[in-house]
Amino acid sequence: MRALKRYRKQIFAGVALAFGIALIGFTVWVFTLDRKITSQFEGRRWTLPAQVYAQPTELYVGQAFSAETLEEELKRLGYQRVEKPQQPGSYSRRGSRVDLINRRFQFWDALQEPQLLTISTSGNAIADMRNGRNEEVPIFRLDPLLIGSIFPIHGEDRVVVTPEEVSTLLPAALKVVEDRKFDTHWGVNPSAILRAAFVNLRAGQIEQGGSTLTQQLVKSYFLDNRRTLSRKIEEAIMAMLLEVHFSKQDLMNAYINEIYLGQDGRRAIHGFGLASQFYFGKPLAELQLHEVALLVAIVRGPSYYDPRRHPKRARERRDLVLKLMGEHGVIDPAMAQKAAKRPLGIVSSGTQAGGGYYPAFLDLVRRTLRRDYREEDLTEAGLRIFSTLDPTVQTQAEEALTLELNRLDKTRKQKSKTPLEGVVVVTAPQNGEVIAMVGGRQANFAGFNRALDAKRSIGSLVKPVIYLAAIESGQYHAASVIEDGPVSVKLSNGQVWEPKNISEQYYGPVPLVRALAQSMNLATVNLGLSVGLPKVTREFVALGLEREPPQLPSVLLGSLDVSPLEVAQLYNAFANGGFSTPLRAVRAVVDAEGEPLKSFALEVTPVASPDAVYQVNRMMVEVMEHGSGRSARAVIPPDIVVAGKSGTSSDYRDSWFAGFSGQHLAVVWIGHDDNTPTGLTGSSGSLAVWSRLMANLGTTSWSAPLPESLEETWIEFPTGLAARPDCGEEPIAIAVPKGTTLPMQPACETNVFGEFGERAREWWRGITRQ
Amino acid sequence: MPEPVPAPVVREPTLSPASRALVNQAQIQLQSKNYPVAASSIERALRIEPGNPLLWIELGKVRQAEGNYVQAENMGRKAASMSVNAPRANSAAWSLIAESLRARGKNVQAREAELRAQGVR
Repeated sequence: MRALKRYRKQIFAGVALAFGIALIGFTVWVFTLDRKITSQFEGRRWTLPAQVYAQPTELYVGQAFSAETLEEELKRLGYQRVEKPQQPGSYSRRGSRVDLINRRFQFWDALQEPQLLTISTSGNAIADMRNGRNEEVPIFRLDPLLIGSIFPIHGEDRVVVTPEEVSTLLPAALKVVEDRKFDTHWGVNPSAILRAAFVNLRAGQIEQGGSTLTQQLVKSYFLDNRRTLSRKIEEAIMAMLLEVHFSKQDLMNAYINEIYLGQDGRRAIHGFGLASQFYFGKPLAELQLHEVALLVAIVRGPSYYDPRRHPKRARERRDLVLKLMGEHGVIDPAMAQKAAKRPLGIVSSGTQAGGGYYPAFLDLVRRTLRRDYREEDLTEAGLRIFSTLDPTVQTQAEEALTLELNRLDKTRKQKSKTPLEGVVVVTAPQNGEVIAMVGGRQANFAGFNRALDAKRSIGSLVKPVIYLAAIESGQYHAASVIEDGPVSVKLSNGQVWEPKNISEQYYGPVPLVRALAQSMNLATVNLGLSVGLPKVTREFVALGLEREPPQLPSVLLGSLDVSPLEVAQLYNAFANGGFSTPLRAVRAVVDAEGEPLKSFALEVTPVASPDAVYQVNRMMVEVMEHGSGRSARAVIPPDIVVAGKSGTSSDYRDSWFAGFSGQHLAVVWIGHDDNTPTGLTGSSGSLAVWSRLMANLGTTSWSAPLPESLEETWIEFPTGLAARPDCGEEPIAIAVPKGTTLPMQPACETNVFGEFGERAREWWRGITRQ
Repeated sequence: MPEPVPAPVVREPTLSPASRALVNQAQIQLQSKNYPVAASSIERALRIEPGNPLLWIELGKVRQAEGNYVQAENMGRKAASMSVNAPRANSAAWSLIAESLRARGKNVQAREAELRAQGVR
């Protein structure tokens, strides 16, 4: 005791010192937390993934939109049907008339303010379009569909909203449901914590969280779900620190943009702005009461209350939210009851606005931009990217591929362990825009992007390039006769190369047009060897292939590994009349403030003689009329002229079809990822997908004016002898250089060349309606 | 005896009202030297009427105004290949080609293009 007394001073001093050190430690800790939280909150508050938009829909008189199609388009954009449109993002429809008020939208080249549009349709086209002052509007761009974003590796995706873009209902609902003392507490709510502790104690598990919105915000910022006591204390202190530094309004706005609200594969949906797009396919500002209530309901457990997977649970909680809102005077209880009767109103996650997400195409966008931007700029800097995707064409491409692959898996003779895979790439040939890209059978599965990375043997898809080189050399034209007979080439390694036709037959002397239409291997090899391999391989580069193929005879039969996108680049030059234009997936990029950063302008370069290309294109029309593409004619309307070519690699490993109409170029590939045989040719596999797609697109005919140096003439398809439309075997009209004289089919001797040339031209015009 | 060669059907292209509006808009944007935006307007029209040589000529004029004579010439060539049956449009296309060639000092080729623009072939 004495000792104690004696050392009392020292003990007291020791305790005081320990306490002092602890206090200093605590203060330092609080300071660190303060630094941490304020820098997080104040600095760059959110990393903003780049937003990617589809191409906007243009409305104009003559546009092929029925009232139904127009309404579908508006629904896809999340426009709401009302009696009389008053707000942006709403429309009304009466029969063939649609009235709408568009959303305000900052395009890369202009700001589109909301205005009333009255659109009258007649049959399948827009007949009249006027604004609110009854003035004619010649052309109008709708706000484009948001198709996705380029989010960082950790998967956090969000669309940030400003307080003006948030209806007052949302903060009010959040407060009622999550934190009723939000406006008055200083970061934590002790009574709520106690209540929660009591409830949890009784239930023996965590049933109720006592966290304030501020605490939830802190927790979300630091991505930590550990529920230890020290963690809780740290969280509470940080919440209080936040309250010291920032206003309630700032904190509410941060909460609305920060909080986690759902998962879409690897993509984490953060913030109410993105959640609104993800679940309802429209901007947050346009949500109605029952929709706001659903989002607030999801906050408590985005996976447990996932309205797509657990609609019943989500609905019960939504109705509870509505009831609480009614009880606490946020809304009239009658309104709450009325809203509780509404369905959830979720858009499907597949192809719709919010959940719809096109990994193959977005991958192409990302790769395009990676040449100019750092990864962080794309995932953090809030760029807005205007892409070339046409969602309607994309949906049709996905459908055509899925339907035909299912059919082929069932019907083909050669069964295999793995299901078939496929790719579709669609471009607009005249400007090189990639308007659809399906990278695999599960179009919404982000994985190996076959459209870009599957470099596969393209087989006979090489043939048009060889025929173009031959015609450009001046030695050949579409009716020139070549020999389809045995070929034997001694290779540099001493081996002898002896290719065969698929049918293992020889066809003898045949005109170029038939050799191409029926995809004859031996005739093509003879032609290629006679023109010379260097000319042929250079032609590939001229048309847009990045690397020159090796000068090997086997290249003449397509032993050349090329991705579907590169095939599209190659064929685009044909579809574009001998002009090459780099394929583009992006039109423009603007920064977070809307300032244009970069635009990808349309460029064209003449790469091949338009006359030679015209002849080859006419030959590719014969592929569809008389050759390996003929089965498409049963699907595509008879008055639509299309051109194309099939391709099959050795042992039926790859089935290809590439072809074009006036508006669309499509490349289809079918095969197995492990490169095992499919048993399919280009015609029995990919052509079916291609024709179904072309038929569904409602595309226009391929047509081009006959070049001055060419003339039309009739020949027999099998022999190439001059013929007449009413004389000879399978007479067809082709284009050859002016002044070409062809040996006449003896049975048609009375032919007068000029007259029949003119009749051929008339026949052709009849088909193409030029 | 040679047969008389029938005259080809002349089809001069015209701009649809939508394209006309966009071309007018582009011309205003061009006056304020806003080349990317002017080009963007013509590109919108081209998506509606990709086969109209007049629009390719308009786009070529934007490129010419911004000093991109290679693309101006290429646009002209594209328009020329599409206007075989339209002498007026064809002549405008060859004029654009001629001007673009001249601007690059390719006077001989420019002269040839001018002759084609004048219909001397």
